[in-house]
Amino acid sequence: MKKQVIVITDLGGGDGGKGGVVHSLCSHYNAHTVVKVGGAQGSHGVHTSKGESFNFSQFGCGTFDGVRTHISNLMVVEPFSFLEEGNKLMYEWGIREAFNLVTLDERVLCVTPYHTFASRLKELARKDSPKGTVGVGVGEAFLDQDLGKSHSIYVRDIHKSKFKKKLKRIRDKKISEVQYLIDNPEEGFKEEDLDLAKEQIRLMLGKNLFDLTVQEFETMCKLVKVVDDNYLYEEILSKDGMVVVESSHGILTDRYNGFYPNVSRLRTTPNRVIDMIKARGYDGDVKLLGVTRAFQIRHGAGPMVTESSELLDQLLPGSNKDENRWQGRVRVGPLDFVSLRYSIGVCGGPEAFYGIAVTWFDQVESVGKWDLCDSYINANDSVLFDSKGIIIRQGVDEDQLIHQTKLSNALKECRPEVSSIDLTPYSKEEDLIQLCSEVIQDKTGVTVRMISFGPNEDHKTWLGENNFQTIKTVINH
Amino acid sequence: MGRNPLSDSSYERVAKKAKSAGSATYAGEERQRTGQGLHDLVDPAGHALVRRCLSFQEPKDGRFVLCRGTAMPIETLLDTTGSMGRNVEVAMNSLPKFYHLLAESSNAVLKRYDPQLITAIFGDYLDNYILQRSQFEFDERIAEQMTLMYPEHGGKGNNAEDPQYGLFGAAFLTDATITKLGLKGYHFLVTDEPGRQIEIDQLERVYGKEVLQRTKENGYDISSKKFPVGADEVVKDLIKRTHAFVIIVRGGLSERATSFWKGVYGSERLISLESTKGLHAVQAAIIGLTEGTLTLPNVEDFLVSSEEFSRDQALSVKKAIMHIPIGAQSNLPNFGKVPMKGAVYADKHDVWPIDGLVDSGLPVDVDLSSEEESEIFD
Repeated sequence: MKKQVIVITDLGGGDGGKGGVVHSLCSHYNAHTVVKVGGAQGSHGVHTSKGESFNFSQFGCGTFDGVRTHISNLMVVEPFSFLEEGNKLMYEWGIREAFNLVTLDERVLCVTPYHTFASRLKELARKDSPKGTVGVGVGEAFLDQDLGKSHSIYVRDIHKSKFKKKLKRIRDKKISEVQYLIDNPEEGFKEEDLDLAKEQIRLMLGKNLFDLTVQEFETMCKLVKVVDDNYLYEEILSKDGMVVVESSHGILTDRYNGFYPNVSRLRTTPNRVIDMIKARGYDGDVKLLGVTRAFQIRHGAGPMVTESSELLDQLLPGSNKDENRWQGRVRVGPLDFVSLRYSIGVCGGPEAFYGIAVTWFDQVESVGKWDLCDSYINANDSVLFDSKGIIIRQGVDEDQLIHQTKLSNALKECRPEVSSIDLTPYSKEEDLIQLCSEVIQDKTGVTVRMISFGPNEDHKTWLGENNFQTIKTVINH
Repeated sequence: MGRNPLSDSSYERVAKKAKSAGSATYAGEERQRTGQGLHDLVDPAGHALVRRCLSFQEPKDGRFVLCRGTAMPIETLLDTTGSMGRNVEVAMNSLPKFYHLLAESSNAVLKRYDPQLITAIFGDYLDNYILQRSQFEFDERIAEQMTLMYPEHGGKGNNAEDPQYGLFGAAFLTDATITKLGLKGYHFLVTDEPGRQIEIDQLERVYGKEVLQRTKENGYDISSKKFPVGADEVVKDLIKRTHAFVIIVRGGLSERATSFWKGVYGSERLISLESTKGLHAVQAAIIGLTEGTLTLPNVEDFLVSSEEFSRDQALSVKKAIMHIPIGAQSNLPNFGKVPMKGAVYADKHDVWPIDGLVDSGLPVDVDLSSEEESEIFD
């Protein structure tokens, strides 16, 4: 059993189908641990051949397979929904050992309910120019770290005497930030949002919220194993076999490389993950696996050149995220190779990738044609575009955000040049697999490693399995 | 840290809070006062209805290890109406002692298993809540969930109560590892009144409109046309999957209750007690006799060692329980093949381990088809 880490990266806006890919890797290749990175707001759908169906957020998508979850320090947790998720897995799905399967890095940042409510109130106060947020408060908590450690709660703080003091400070600060809205809701919010806003205010000011927060944070730390920074290296990466890194979001919502301003506060590119894995001389393979649907999808606001209302009627979007006030609606369109090449480029180019997993191919199969976009009309600004597509600019400063804003604005003016492949001659699955592999390899330069024709692991075909074979032999019980 | 079994210190924390709040069910009462309704954990319709008593299997080196022994369900369905109103308090106070007798004492009756407990309480259909049913737990969550309950102390004087909805849940809305092994869990109904028939509208009131669908997903196909259904018919199914007993408190004074429940359970499963004092020790003794971990000659000592009964009292309890089907569990064919703590499974979903059985014989394939069929709903 050779050591290897598979890093899963969504090449779009975050709806690619990471959950199914992670579960499939866990069940096909007997991964021993799923390492979580990103935010608590992810919603990764998993359907198993045994009939289980669950949207994972803070637990790893291998939980139904009995695979352990490690919440790394690159993750931000929200303890209330973490406990709720664990209880659901325990009581509704019979994973009685759900919490026992989790290790939690003591350096993990925690979102408090005060961040959650403040973030929602601020979003509602943006009225007709929403930023687009999942409404959990991850970004809010993440940004507050800039104020210094005394303004953030990390897992290691819980159970220490300073915990309540910190929480009080956060409570007072977050309430003060939205005090004007609390005092003047009629002015601060649109009329149709007023009831929702008042409910958030009521909850935020609830007299039991502080004690409840203390209780829930302490319960989380009691139910899971809190570990130090050595654990990842000494107990997880040192073991033979496969580790899967499951990240939230997608490249297009990366803080600095995403289509600003519809981005996350977090970094979603895989380089930080790879640095974390290799920090202490990891000697196994690290394989970057991109994930994309066979069509384009985006949840909520943000540029989407290939958006097509016609396709929305034909494709089952099947997003695992509910359409809600915080995230907005689901949009679909032809698979956008310009955007895909951009994401791949941001991550270091085709050579950085081990492969791509293509999900939801059954959907385009059912439509009978595969719509693809390889270039944009109106992509004329030579600072932003060249003949191959979008020019990649790297940076982590204001200039980068200005550039990305320009890019986002330019993308809104672009139109897709769409071509179609008639799928009716491809009656066999293997023919479709070959077609999909050839087209994607040709347009992106990355090898297709998995194609999904349905929701559960039995519908997912892994290609070039010899790369994983040393592990596969172990799991044929 | 992970979860640890019910220990005196973890229990103390919950009990202390309940004591300072002045009631074992303070949290449930507070929820009622503030209009929050039943907590999901004790609402029979909460968490997708089905209560699961499943073994803990943790991954290790590509296999799965049974880390706490085979899960053994023990459900206690308590009458909390009228004079039985203090039953949750009684159960809460005796909880650590009960767990000790089941799992921890030197002569613990279920030592080889992972005992997981459910507390359910029932009232009358005129109450706000006919039934409240916790989750299967092995740690302080048992006590925590008791605090979430809301006994209405109703008992509307209509000469019967409604435990049959709790019996329905125990029979059809329970998913337990032990039944897949061909063995049975334990169910105790504690009451002093007769029951009634199950009406479909009340059943849906308790469990929600999807109750029959969820029952079906759990393996039992029940048509709505079969209703109303008598308690006796449900208990027939319950007995297939559990060693089920009815404990009539002050049976001598409640001839109607005794006669009704005798018709439902049969006399060998009916226990008549003077009071609920030492109820947990009586339950443990019944379990011990059924498992074969106690025998009639030593059950009296066991009861005395529980510190609930004097020698004389222990003798009268022994007389009250000596007619039960002794050895009913140990006589089942797979009794000697129960996977023990440390057993290793090839796959998480496997019923039998590849290593670590109680005896060296190969596991017997269990034909569950007859067990799974519902007699009354064929």
